[in-house]
Parts: sequence; structure tokens; C-alpha cells
Amino acid sequence: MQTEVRVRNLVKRYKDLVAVDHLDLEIQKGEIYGLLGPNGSGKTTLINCILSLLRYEKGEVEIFGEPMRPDAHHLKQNIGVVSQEPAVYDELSVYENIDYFCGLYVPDKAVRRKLVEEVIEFVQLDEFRKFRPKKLSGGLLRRLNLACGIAHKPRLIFLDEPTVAVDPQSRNRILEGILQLRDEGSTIVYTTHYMEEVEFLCDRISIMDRGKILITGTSDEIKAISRSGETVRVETFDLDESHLKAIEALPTVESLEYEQAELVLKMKAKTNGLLDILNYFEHHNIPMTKISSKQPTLNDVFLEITGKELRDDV
Amino acid sequence: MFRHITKYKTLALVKDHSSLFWTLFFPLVLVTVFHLAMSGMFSSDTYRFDPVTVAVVTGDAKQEEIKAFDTFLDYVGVPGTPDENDGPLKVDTDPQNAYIIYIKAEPEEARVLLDKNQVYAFVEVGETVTMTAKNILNSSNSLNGSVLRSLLERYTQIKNTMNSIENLVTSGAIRPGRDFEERIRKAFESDTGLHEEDQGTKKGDVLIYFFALLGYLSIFPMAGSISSVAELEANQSSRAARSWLAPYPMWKRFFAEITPNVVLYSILIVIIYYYLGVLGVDLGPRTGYILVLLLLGTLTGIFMGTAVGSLFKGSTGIKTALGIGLPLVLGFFSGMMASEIRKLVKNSIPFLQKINPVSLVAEGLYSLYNYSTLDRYFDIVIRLSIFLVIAIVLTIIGLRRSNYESI
Amino acid sequence: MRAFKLYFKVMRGSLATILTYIGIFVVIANFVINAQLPSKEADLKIAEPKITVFDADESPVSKAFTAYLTEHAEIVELEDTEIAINDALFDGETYYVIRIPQDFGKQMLDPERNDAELNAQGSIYVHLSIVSAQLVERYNQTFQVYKQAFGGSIPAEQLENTLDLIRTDLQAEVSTRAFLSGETYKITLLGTSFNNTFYILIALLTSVIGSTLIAMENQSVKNRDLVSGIPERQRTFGIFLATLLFSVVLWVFLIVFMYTQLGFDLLTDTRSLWLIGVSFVHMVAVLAVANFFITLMRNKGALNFFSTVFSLAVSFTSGVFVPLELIQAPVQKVASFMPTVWAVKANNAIVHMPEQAPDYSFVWQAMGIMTLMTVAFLCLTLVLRKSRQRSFA
Repeated sequence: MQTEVRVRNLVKRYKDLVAVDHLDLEIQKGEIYGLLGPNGSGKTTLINCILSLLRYEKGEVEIFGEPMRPDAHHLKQNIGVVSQEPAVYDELSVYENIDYFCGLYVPDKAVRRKLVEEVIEFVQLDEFRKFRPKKLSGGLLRRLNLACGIAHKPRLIFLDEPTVAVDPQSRNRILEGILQLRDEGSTIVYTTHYMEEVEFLCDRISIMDRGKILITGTSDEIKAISRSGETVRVETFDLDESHLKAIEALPTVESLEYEQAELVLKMKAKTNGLLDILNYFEHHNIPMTKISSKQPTLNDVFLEITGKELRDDV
Repeated sequence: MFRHITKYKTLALVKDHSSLFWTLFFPLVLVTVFHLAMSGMFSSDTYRFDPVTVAVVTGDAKQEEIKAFDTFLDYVGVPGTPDENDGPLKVDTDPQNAYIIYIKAEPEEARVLLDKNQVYAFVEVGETVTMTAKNILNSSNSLNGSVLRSLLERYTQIKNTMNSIENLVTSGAIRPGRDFEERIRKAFESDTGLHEEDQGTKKGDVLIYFFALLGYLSIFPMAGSISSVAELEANQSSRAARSWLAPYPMWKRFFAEITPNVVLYSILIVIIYYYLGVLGVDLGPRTGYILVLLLLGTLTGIFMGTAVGSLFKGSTGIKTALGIGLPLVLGFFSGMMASEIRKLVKNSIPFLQKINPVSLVAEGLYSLYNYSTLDRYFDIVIRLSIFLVIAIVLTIIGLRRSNYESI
Repeated sequence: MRAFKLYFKVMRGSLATILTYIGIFVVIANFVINAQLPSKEADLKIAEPKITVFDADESPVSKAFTAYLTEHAEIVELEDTEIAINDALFDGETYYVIRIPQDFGKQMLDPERNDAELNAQGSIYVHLSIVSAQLVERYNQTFQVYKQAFGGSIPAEQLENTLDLIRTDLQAEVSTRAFLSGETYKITLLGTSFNNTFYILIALLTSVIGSTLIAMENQSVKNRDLVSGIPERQRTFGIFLATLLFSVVLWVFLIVFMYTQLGFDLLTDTRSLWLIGVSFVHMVAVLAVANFFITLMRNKGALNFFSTVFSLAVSFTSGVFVPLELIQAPVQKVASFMPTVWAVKANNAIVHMPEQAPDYSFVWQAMGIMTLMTVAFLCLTLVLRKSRQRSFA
């Protein structure tokens, strides 16, 4: 498989703060690569370093197999970037904005017209093409922002939290669009702190914190690494001390808590603990009103690795 | 590509109605206000001289002195009466050709009159003539002072001459003939054969304000081009970051970005020039040279802005303040607010005068108005061009950095 | 009090602008005041003309004429090129350039003439040229008088003697005395400096207060404040109070700076205190005017242009830069709707105030008018804010 982005030993400092810390990374052609991390973890800095927008102290960045430099215009030609902040001209209409940014990559007018029409269709802004950005709602504005970044059909697309503060309808449209872009052959680097998006979209995920990549893999692989297993909750009224001890002694149980008629069990990883519990209750004929089980989420994994909630505003 | 960017930048510039309106409106309003404020100086009788009010104290002067002085007063002035409201002396007759309006007064009265500003000065007649005025220098008062002193001097001089001639007659060196007195009287009124070159003198000191104003208005696009640079530097706006990522070298983007500014402000300065013509401010016949100078000034202003914008890493607030404040300060030092400032600068910081672009444009316009040759004009054009080149080089240095420490 | 505090927090964003403007003011004021500070001399100073003479004749008459000019004016030596001459005239290094042609002496002595050809070039400072022209006229007249006294031509043996006589006749000195001490000059300079602060105040108050006010009047910010239970009246009051406090601090700084330049001893002069009083009333009035226009405009992009145009326009038409006498009556009439022209007039009155029987009634009147303007503009602003509030509701 072809490697589109390769980063080796990258270090970026802001005075005493190490924003990117000896980081290695490879992104394969045709994948959606998710970069997950809390605010301030260094995601945006990493991307800006990859794009040569920021100066860095150490390391190498290759894109399409060539070293990336600020004046590597032939590489830039095939890159699309969608920033967090909408970066458009308030004075220009939707169509004009897209045409302007597309024109920075595509000089040919006829080709460009086709591309602009396509991308307007793609982000479903057709009825707003004459609107000025100020008249657009937050979601529509994000879609315009996306359109400006991808109109020239780049081979490699960086999407930096494109769905922040977006209504569900626009958000779904954006997510579907991203899948479509991948299917059309683009490689996508997607940063976010919404893990549902990552689980839904990404072929591979890296979890990043304090400038370091802590773990990389598919969603399932990452969850599998987790030490903790599922959480089982049982609603039951008659549970005495001896039962509790016996349950805790089960080989699949990591820990338990019993309070106000609810038994919460943390199971060991990679075990089928729910079955064990059901068996135990049935065997001892203990009545229960409700039982549920929840698999660990990326958030749990992240919490486990970093001790921080993903959506923490750090 | 260049055309593509330029087209959209122009579109963005033109579609920003409020800013466009103010950009165009501002200089025209300023020129109009200037013209209104100065039109008083422009009117044909500007240098019509308002008579000086004087209190005359004869005190214990000799009778013949008093008589001589009275003749003199009759000749140069008209009598006045004190104003009831403590205003300056009033006259009954129209003091058309009079240089002074006078009132005879006792020494004490004269002092009070002067203290109350009812007269500009009082004059004590005697062996010598003494004039006393408040020690206040401003343009109109110092003119009063020079005129009055000069008149009094003339009186003494004529008295001296008459004495000398009398002595010559007594000594026999002169034998007065027929109509002797008549001839002497006529001689006292003879005109000089003085030919004053009129060029630039009549409206010169009003025009100097307009020269400085035009200098200021050609440098003022600085503020606009400072914000243009913000569109280029990826660390100054997210839009700029997006453009930075396009496969297009910085310097090409720079020129594409700045071209609409250059065109807009060039058109503007030409409009201003012709608008001044409509208002009746005549800057002389050398229109072509004037426009070249103004356009060169405009370019200089624009690139000063890009230099400041790209070199200074400070906050936008400081940059905006500099963009607005610096042209005003340079205008001030060129005499835009008070023409005397030019002289003060020339004397205390001559170096500033030589490099101040507003001053250079103003001097260039003055030289076109007054000088028959174009030597000084070209000298200024060269100096301004050097300034422009430096501004461009500084801009390039500022923009040359290829990526950023932080965003 | 919340709006009051918020105002200063928002204003921190304009700190750079404030400091830049104040820096510019300090540099300029320092330069101008120091360049004009008088020497200790208390005499009435009447500027002597500066003249440049090029004598192509070099006859006894032309030499005597040149010697006469040397006694009555400061002679400035210049290179005889058009550029050097015009530059000197432009820069006020010389006011008048006289060219004596070759047969000047012959023409002067010619019994058929009563003048001689002379060429001269005046400077752009016209009144200074007039004085120089008079010098020339007088010499000629006196010369012609002697010629006529000798019956139409001066005998060759009498020429030297006559030229001497003319010179001594014309040496007549008029003694000049200053009625008041040198302090008065300083007060005049103080008055001018006060006038100049008007410009700085108008420019700074409109731009700084403007940008802060516009930020605070942002509809969504305002709505958030209003739903928080602060009555609009209280908010308006808080903002007004904050702008006033800022203006007072700025004003105090400008005044203190001026006195550090001119000397704090001037504070003992009553006129000084009057100037400060007028300046304060004017500052408050400008604040009200600025508040009104900014509320009317509400556009941040236009603010910088507005502030530049407004401050320059008001200053030029109100006599801050150019003496009021030079401004035409209709323009002055329009300007009199702004407080500045009244403050300038009041300052002029204070500076020229008689020492014996000072009468400050006009100054009171001017301050009254400015106060009325303050009230009027304040009311207009309140009405405007109120109507905006309603139209929004």
C-alpha cells in the first residue's frame, strides 16, 4: 500500500511547551485517518507542521513520498485543507468564494466551473449560491468552508474539526460527504474530539495527547487493547454479603459495587462476563428486575490511557 | 492566476460598500473642509491690510514735533473713537487707504486702552518715537507690529531727511529753485521700478497647505495596505492561511493582492486632483508632472503600509493606529496643520524633512508651481523613488519568511 | 456597575491604539513647544526681514543701497541658482531676493527718471515680502528727494556725501517696548498648546471611545446583558460614566504633560486656571458629541475614517490650526454648532485678557454654550438609544 503522509520524529516547541513530541506517523492512500485528542493535545499544530505552515525544531515530513517544504507547490497542488474556523470572504457570495479558492489551484476556467458546480452539488448549497456568508447559518457556513477546501478535488485532504457547532442535518451531510470523498479515491486526515464520528468514519485512528500519539489502530483494535471489559448492571433487591463475595470471586469479574438495589460490575477485558452473571443469578435463584451490559467505548479507552475525558477542555 | 486573484480582490473591495464609501468619501470631505477653512485666505482681498489701531501719546513733546506727527497721522491714518463695548477702536469714515486708526490719549488712558486690547499699541511722540505693544506673537499681530514700526520709522526718516536738506540749504550746497517744495513732495511719493516676480507669491502660503494635504492624501493609503498584508500572512487570518496553502508563491499573491489597492488609490488621487481644480485651487499648469508625483506618492504610501504590515509582528491595533497616525504625523511635520511647522522641522530636524514622504510630495508640488526648471522636481522624484524602493525591499524582507513560528 | 467595569475590559483591546496616539502626541507636543519656547528676553520682538541681494551693478549707488539693506535687514547669502533661491524662499530662509541690474546706479541718477529697474522675488509668506518691498521703496524715495533737492541731478562731487546722508537719514530707529513680560508669551504658547490638545482629544475620544462603544453595542452582547436583568438605563449610565472617567484620565495626562513642557509655575497665573477650566468643559462636550455620532454610526469599519475626518474638519474650521480670523464667516457659522470653536474663542479671550480690568464674561458665556451643547447631545444620544431599543423590541 502507498504511503501518502510520513512523519518521522517530529518535534515542535512553543517556548517551554512541547506541542509535538518526537512524533511518528504514517497515513496510507485511500484511508480515512482519524486523529483523536482533547483540545490542546497538539492535533492542529501537528497538521500545520505537516503542511509546513509552522516551523518545527526537528523531524521529517514527507507527502506523496517527497519532502514537504513551504514552497513545494507541486505537492500543495494536490492537498486540500479545511480549517476549524470558516475562512471565507464576507464580501463574496457562496459561488464566488468557492470559485476564488478553487481558482488558486485550477487556472482553467471551464474546468473550474465544472468543479465548482460539482462541489456546490456535493455540499448541497445550490439554493444558497448567491448568498453572502453572513446570511448563512452555522451549518451552511461550515459546508461552504468545506467546499472551498475540496473543490479542486485534492488527493489528500486535511479536515480539522469540520463539524464543530454544526446542526445534525449539516453534520450528517458532511460525514457522508467525507465517506464519498474517500470512495472517490482521496486520502483523508480527520481531526476531531467527537469519538462517535471517528468510530463511524475512520479506517484507522490515532489517539493523541500532549504532543504524542499514544495508540494507533482501528476502532476495534484500540478497544481491544483496553484492560477493562464490559460493564454489567443488575437491578436486584435481595443480595446479601455472601452473594456479593461469591460474585466478586468469579474469574471474569474485575470489581463490583452494590448500592440502592443496583449492582454494578466491571468485568475483565476479553471475557464474556454477562453470561457468567446470568448463570450465577439463575443458579442461586435470585430475582432481578433488569440487567444491561455496555461494551467499553473509545472514551473509556482514552480515559484509561490518559486519565482525561475526551471532551475535556484542557 | 494573477488575474484570477486580482479579479476577486477587486470584487471584494468593491462589494464592501461601507469601506469603499469611506475610502472615497474621506479624502473628498477632507479636501472640501480644507478648502472651506482656507477659502478665507484665498479671496482676492486677503492681503488687504486691516488698519492697525493705535493710541497716540504726545505728552510733553515740542509743538513742532506734534505738528509734524499730526501731518503724518493725517497722511497714513484716520481718527477713531473708543468702542463702548471695549472692542477695538471704531471709525466713522471708511478707512479705505488708511494704515492706522488712531486716537489721541493721555499716557494712562493709552495704557488702559492697550490692556483692554482696544488698540494694538500706543505710540509716544518725542525726540524719539517709542511704540509699546503687548508681547504677543501670532501671525496677525506680528504683521501689525511690523507695519506699525515700519510706518513710524518712515516718519522719523522723513523728518531726518527734511532736516538734512534744510542743513544743505543753509550751508548753500542746495539752492532751492522754483516749485522746490512741490518737487520734493512728489519725490517722496515716487514709485520704485521694482518688478516683483509674481510666481507663487500670491497664493503661496495657502497653497502650501494644499501641497501638504496632497502629500498626506497620497500617503494615506498606507492604512489600507496594512490590512492587505493581513490577507497574505498565514498567521494573521484563517483566510490567509488557506491562501497560503495554495500552490502559489507568496510574491505573486502579494502583487495580486496589492494591485486592486494600487488601482483604486491611483484613481482616487487623480479624482482628488481634479476635484481641487473644480474647487478653484489652481496648482499650476504642469498637470502631467503633478499627477506623476502624486501617483508616485500613492505607491510609496501603499508600500509603506505593506512594509509596516509585514515587518511589525505586533497587534493589529498598533498597526492600525500606525497606519492612520503615521501619515497624519508626517502631514503635520510637512505643515499640513500649520505652515510654520515646516520651518521648525527644517531648522531642528533637517534629516526628517529630507526623508518625510509627505514633505517630499509637498516640496515637489511647490517646485512644479514655482520653479521654471524641473531639476528640483526630478531630484524629489528620485528621492521618493528611493524611499519607495526601500519600502518595497522591506516588504519583501517581511514577507520572505516562508513559514511561521506560531499561528 | 457591571457595564462600567465591562467598558474598561473591552477598552483593553484598544490599548495599543491609545498608546500609539499618545506617543505621537507626546513627540509632537514636545517638539513644537520646545521649538517655540521663548528666550528669556522680554522685549517686543518684531521680526526683521531676511533679504538676499545680488548686485550686478557694483556702482557706488548700488553699494550704498546694499549697505543700507544690511543695516535694516538680515542679509542672507545664497548661491545664485533658481533652485537654491526657490528652496530658501520656500523654507523661509529668506523672504525676499533682490536683483540689482547693471545700470541701476545710472538709472537712479538719471534726471529723466524717478526710479530704477529692480527685480525681486518674494517668498510664500507674503506679508514678510511686503515689509521688504517697503525697505526698497523708501531708499528710492529718499534718493529721489535728494535728487530733486539738487534740482534734478546730484552733482558728482556731492554724490558720496549725499549717499552718506541718505544712509544716516534712514537709520532712524523706533524704539519698541513690550507692554507685558515674557510670561505673557508663555501664556500665549500655553493657549496655543491647549488649542492643539483639542485636536488630539477629538481624535482620540472618537476613535477609542468609538471602538469600545461599538463593541459593546453589538446586538448579541447587548441582549445577553439585558436578559441578565440589568436595566437598559443602568447600562447606559454605566457606559457614560466609564467614558467620562476614561476621558478625564486622558485629559489630565495631556494637561500634565503640557505643563511639564512649559513649566508648572504657569499654574500660578489665573489665566492658566481659566484655560484649564475651558479645556475641561470642552472635553466633556466633545465626549457628548462623540457619543452621539458613534451611536448614530455604529459601524466599526467606518470609525477610523470618521474619527480622522471629524477631528481634522472640526479643528480646521474651529481655528485650532489656522487663526480664526482667516476662516470665512459662513464656515465659522457652521463650525459654531460644535463646541471646539467656542473653546478656541474662549482661549483667545483668556490669553489676551486685560491685566487691569479682566472681564471673563465671554469665557463664562462660551463655557455655558459648551455645557448646553453637552446636554443637548447627551439628550439626542439618549433619544437615539431609546428609539433603537424600541425598534429592536
